[in-house]
Amino acid sequence: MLNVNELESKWLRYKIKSYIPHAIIAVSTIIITLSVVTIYNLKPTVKVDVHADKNLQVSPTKTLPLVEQNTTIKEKSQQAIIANSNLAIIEKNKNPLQNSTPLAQSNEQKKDKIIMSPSLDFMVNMRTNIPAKYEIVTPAKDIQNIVIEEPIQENVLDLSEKAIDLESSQEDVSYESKKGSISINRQNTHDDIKYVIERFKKNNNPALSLFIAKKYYELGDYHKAYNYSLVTNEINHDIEASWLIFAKSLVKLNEKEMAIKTLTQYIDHSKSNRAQILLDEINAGKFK
Amino acid sequence: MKSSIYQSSKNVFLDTVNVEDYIQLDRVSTIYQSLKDSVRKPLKMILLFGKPGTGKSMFLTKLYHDLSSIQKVYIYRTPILDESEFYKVLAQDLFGIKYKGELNFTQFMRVVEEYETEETPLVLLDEAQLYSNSLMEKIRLLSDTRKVKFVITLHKTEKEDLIAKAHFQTRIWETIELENASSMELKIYIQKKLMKANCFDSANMFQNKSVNLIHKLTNGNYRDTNKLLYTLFDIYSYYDEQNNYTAINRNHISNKIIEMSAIHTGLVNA
Repeated sequence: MLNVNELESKWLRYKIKSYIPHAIIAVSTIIITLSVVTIYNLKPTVKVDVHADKNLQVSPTKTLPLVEQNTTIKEKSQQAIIANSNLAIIEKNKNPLQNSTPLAQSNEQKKDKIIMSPSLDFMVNMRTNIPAKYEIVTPAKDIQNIVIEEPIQENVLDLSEKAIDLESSQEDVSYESKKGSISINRQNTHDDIKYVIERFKKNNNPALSLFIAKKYYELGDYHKAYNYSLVTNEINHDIEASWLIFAKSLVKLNEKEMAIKTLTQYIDHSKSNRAQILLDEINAGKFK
Repeated sequence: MKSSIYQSSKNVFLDTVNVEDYIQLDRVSTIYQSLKDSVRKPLKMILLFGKPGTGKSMFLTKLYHDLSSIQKVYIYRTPILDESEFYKVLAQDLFGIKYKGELNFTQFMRVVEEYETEETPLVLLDEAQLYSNSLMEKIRLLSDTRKVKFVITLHKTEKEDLIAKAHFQTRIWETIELENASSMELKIYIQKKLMKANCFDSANMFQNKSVNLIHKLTNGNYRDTNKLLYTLFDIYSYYDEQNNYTAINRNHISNKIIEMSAIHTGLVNA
C-alpha cells in the first residue's frame, strides 16, 4: 500500500528543489534589471540639474527684451541707456533685499544650489555677449544709430541681466569669494589669464572672472576688464571689487559720467565706503 | 463504482508479458511485420535487440503466439544456463528425445544432424545476453546446420553489441532494433491499453500535456511507463477512497500525481 502522505511531502520537497534554480535565475534577473535601470536613471538626474541651471540662465534673457524695450524707448543716447539700465538694476536690487521674506530666502538657496553646477550655456551666452559690450562703450557720436541697432540693445540687456542676477546671489558673495581666493594664483602673463579663463569657463566661479577683470585692468585692457567685471556682476552682483573695476574701466574708457552714475547707484544700494572714495576721486579728477 | 475505474485502470498497467496486452502502434506493427517476414526467409538467425523495456519480450511472445498455430515454434523466456540442460530441453522439445543423463554438444549435434524434418523448427530465446559466450558460440554452430532457426533477443548494451559482432555478425541475416516510443506513440499506447480494458474515462484523461510529462519522465520506455501509470492509478484510487476530490480532477491527469508516481517509482530523485 502506498504511503500517499509521505509521497506528498516528498513531492513538495521535490517541487521546492526544482524551483530553486528558477528562483535564483529570476531573482538575479530582477537584480540585474534593477541595477541597470538604476544606472540609467542616475544619468537623467544629473541632466535635470543641468536643465535647472539652464533655466536659471535662460530666465534673465527672457526678461531682457522688456528691459531692452524700455531702455531703447526712453533713452536715445548711449549714456542714457546705460543709466536707465543701472536704475533698473538698483530697483530690482532693492526689492528683493527689502522684501527678504523666508520664501525669497529659500529661492535664493535653491539658486545657490543650482549655481554650483557648471552651465556651458551660460558660457555660450557670455561669449556672444562680450563683443556687444565692447561696442556699447564705443564712440558717443553714433549714439542714435547704436540705439536702433541690435548690438546696442544686447548691450543694454547684459546690464539688466546683471541686475536681475543681483537678486539671487547675496549669499554667494562670501561663499564664492572664499572659494575663489583659495584657488587663484596671481600671475600676470596673458597665457596665465587664458588658463584662468579656461578654468572660469569650467566652473563659472565669479572669483575667477573678477581675477581676470583685475588682471586685464592691470594690463591696460580696459574693454576686457569692463566685460569681465560685468560678467562677475552677472554671476554675483554684490561683489564690491567688481563694481569698482567696472567703474574704473568706464573711466579709463572715457565714460566718466556713466561710471559716476553707476557708482552713485551702487553706493545708494550698498553704502560702500570704498565705492564712495572712488566716486570722490573721480569727481575730483584724481582718478583718470 | 468510481474506485473501480481507477482500480481497473491500475491493473491495465501491471508489468506482465501477455499477448492480450500487445498494443498495435504503426511503427511497432511495421517492425513486427518485418520480423514475421524474416522468419519466413531461410535465415539461420534473427537478432532482436533494444534497450530494456522497449518491448522485445512482448514481440517474442507475440511472434510465438502468432506462429505457433502454423509452424513449430518453441519459446524460452528464461535462459537455460546449464549447457547440458539446454541441449536436453531442446532435444526433448524439438525432436521428442528424452535424455536422463548428461548430454554434451557433440552428442546433441549428432542428434540434430540425424533428425530429418520437413520444416525447420523456430527457437525463440529471450534474454540471450545471459547465456555464456561458450554457449552462444554453440548456438551459432547449431544454426549453421540449418536444422534449427533461432530468434534471439538481446539488451542493447556495449556487451551485447560485442556478442552480436563477435559471434553472429556473419550469420545473422536480420537485425531488428526496437526503440522507445515517441510522445505521440506513448499517448496512443496508453489510451489503447486503457480502452482495451474498457477504461474509457481514464483514457480520456490523458491529454497531450500529461503525456508529454510522462514521456519526459520515462523517455518513452514502455516498462517505465507501465510502472508509472500503475502507481499513478494507485494514488488515484487512494484519493478516491478518501473522497479527496480536490486532489483529483476527472477531466485530466494531475501533473502533481504524475510527479508523485515518478518519485515513488524512482524515475525522479526527490
